[in-house]
Amino acid sequence: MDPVTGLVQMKARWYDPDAGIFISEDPRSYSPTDPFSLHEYLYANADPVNWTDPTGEKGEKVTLYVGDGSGGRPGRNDYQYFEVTSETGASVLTLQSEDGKIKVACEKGSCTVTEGRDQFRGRGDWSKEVHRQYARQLDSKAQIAFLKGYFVNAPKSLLVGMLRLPYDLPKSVIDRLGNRIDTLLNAGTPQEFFIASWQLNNSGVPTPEELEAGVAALKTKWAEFKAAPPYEQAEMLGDLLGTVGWAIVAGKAIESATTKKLSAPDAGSSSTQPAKKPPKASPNFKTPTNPAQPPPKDVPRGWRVRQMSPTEQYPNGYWVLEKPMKDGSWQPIDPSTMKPGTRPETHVPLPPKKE
Amino acid sequence: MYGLPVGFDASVFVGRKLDQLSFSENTLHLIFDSEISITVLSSISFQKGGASAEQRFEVPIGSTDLMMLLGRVVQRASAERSGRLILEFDGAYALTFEDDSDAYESYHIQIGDKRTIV
Repeated sequence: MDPVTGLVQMKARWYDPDAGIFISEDPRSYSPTDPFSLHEYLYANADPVNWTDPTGEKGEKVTLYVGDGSGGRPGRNDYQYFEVTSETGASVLTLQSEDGKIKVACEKGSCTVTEGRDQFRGRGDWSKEVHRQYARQLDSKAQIAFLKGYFVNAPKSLLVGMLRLPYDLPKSVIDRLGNRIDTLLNAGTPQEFFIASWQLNNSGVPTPEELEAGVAALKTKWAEFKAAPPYEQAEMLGDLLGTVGWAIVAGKAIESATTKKLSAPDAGSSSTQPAKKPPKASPNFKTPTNPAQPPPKDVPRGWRVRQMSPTEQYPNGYWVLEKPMKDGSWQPIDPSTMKPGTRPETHVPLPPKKE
Repeated sequence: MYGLPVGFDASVFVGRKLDQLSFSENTLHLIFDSEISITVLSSISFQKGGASAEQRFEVPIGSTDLMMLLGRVVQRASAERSGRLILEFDGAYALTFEDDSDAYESYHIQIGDKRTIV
């Protein structure tokens, strides 16, 4: 049982012992001769005395859909996926990362892995229609996230978090999972959640302001969840669980060093050998040559704008225009000249946010 | 400016061969095999095999002995929260990358699709 959500992992699916149902759809195909197959969240055909469903699925084959966890979110379009198709009975799949590549193994039988990359464009792609269309295309809608290069065998909390919860999830389940999140967020741990999840997309540590804002955002998200209509709650819960799940696994992956890091930023060394010498003094900050301005909406084809969080020198954050180089690197560009520039020329401050 | 993430696994560099050095106006790009690269925006320190003194190069780099590293394989790697990354190559060569500014990005590490900004 997962200590965070109280759910039980039944191999291909997650089972909610309190509600007596699975929270994810049965990977098996729909069968007109099997009325229970039309109900996607039942455990053992609603008759646990006479039926067992030890693997959580009964399909002829299992297709596992694995995302990198960034899909479906605005601005994070890469959605790498692995479809794992196993022969009958080969229902136990193991995910392992090695050199940043995912390897999938079946406990028995054989399975084939199709690796690819899809492009999801914004939240709309997770609309009800597309979501369901995808569910029909795949034999399983279990989506298991992995952190590239970070973890081997996904912890349960992450799996739960990244399961795309169905829209018609019973309200009792939503409420109960939501209450658990509520408890977590009010147990003095949201700071750790935020820091851990923050570090998946950022380097270093968040500033105290970012931390405060991030925790407040988490709590706001939860308040919005409680006020949302049931249909929207399902999707929001998926995001909330995802956030928490990401944070938990990230916390494990980085050895739960978040607290130590806050109090002593340099104490969390991962060095394999003692430090030779302390970092040399920082050079003086030079006034950016470009005035504070929002990042450009139109950039030359292939170029990109990277926006960064606030720092001490850039209280509103900054952005960098980057040009792709033939060697695969990105060259910082001075937007005023559109030519390569030094750091004071290429780190462009963001203007204050309007109230 | 950001340091290295806690838990950054420097061992990913071990066994990687430095395939290419690429110099541009304001960056130095080191390309290893297996889709790993480092873009330096500030400076690096270079220790030649057997020498006790380090050479320090500021970007843009005018002249350098760094080409000696081409084709060499990383034997050991260590990372510190402060942002220091040390790569030790065969032949007792070593490179040290430092997060030497609290105002600017110092270097970027690209491992596959994941980019770490230091």
